[in-house]
Amino acid sequence: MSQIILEVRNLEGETPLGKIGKDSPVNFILRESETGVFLGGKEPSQLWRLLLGKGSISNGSIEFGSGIKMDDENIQWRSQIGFVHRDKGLISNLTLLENVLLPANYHGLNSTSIEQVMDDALIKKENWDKRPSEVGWKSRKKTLLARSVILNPKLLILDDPTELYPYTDYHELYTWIEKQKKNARGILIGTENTPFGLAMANWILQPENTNMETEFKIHLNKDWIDSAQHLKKSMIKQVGINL
Amino acid sequence: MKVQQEIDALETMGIPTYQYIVLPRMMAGGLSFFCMAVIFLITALFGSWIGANFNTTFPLEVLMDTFSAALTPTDIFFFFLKNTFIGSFIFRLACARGLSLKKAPFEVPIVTNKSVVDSLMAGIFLQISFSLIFYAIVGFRF
Repeated sequence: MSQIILEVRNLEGETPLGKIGKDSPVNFILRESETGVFLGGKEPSQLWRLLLGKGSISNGSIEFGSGIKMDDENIQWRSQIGFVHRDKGLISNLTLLENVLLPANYHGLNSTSIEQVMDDALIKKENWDKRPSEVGWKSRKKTLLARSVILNPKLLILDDPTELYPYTDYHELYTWIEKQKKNARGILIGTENTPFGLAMANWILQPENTNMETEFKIHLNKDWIDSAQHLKKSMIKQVGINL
Repeated sequence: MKVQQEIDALETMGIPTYQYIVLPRMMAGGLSFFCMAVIFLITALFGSWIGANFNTTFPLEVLMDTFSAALTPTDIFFFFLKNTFIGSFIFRLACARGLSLKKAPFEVPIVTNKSVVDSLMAGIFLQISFSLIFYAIVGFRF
């Protein structure tokens, strides 16, 4: 059995964005090389905030596996979690390379190979020294992806990874996520893009039922499952062609 | 930075906002305010010398000698303390106003205006306070 990265039990809480788990407490176990997908709008963002200690827990528990130690006194523990913002979040006066290196430089930690991280996220070398405002939205998103793994975290949280990403290039995201799974990372994805979410998921959470559901392919609407399978096939095909 | 979620991103990466954003700005504020005060002082001295030379001849050495004779370590200490403190305080105030912003871009000009007015008021109040403390300790010298 693979190692547990995160275990959330009967979680209810409140964040600046609102309450979560009041009607249906959140329950899931995320293991390494697994992708859990939370389908919904702002509900996933609320859960991410609770996981990062940015809200108050009224009931239940959050337990991280080895490699992540939560510390209520000091926010530096959050560097052990890789987080990808929806669309914003890059430091505007730093270049893309500086943005990616920022967590490592600040915490004085060794980054994994920067070249590898930038290449994995497919950031063009000519853009490395440009500021976020000088590149397109897609490059910004790629920089957010690269920054999230620079400290080699065991847990990755992607807040709507398809936001800003063109539909035709979803295979790039697919490849990146698969690489992270191969590196034994546990990945949580929050998305409104149901086909993409289902295509990537090992299990899902939904706003109306926040208990992890592994048999979603049987219970969910067939149209969703079909479009997810179609999307997955097309992404695998494109990855194959590009290779 | 707040609107672009840069602050949120820093906190998510475990980087404390006060250390990374506020403290360097406070130090820069103190330093720049002190440098600005030095330039202002030099300009005022030369201005007064030029003014004194309109109707009569007043040598620069005499002015500098008089100035040096009147200057005491307490003056220098208070000059340094007052300007670095006020500079840091104004920048701290501006950062606090900026960080109080929620999310909407329309709030930016509102908090900017508020910050400018508050900084001006705080600057005047602190200038008067420091001067009163200085004269209370050292006394008037003519």
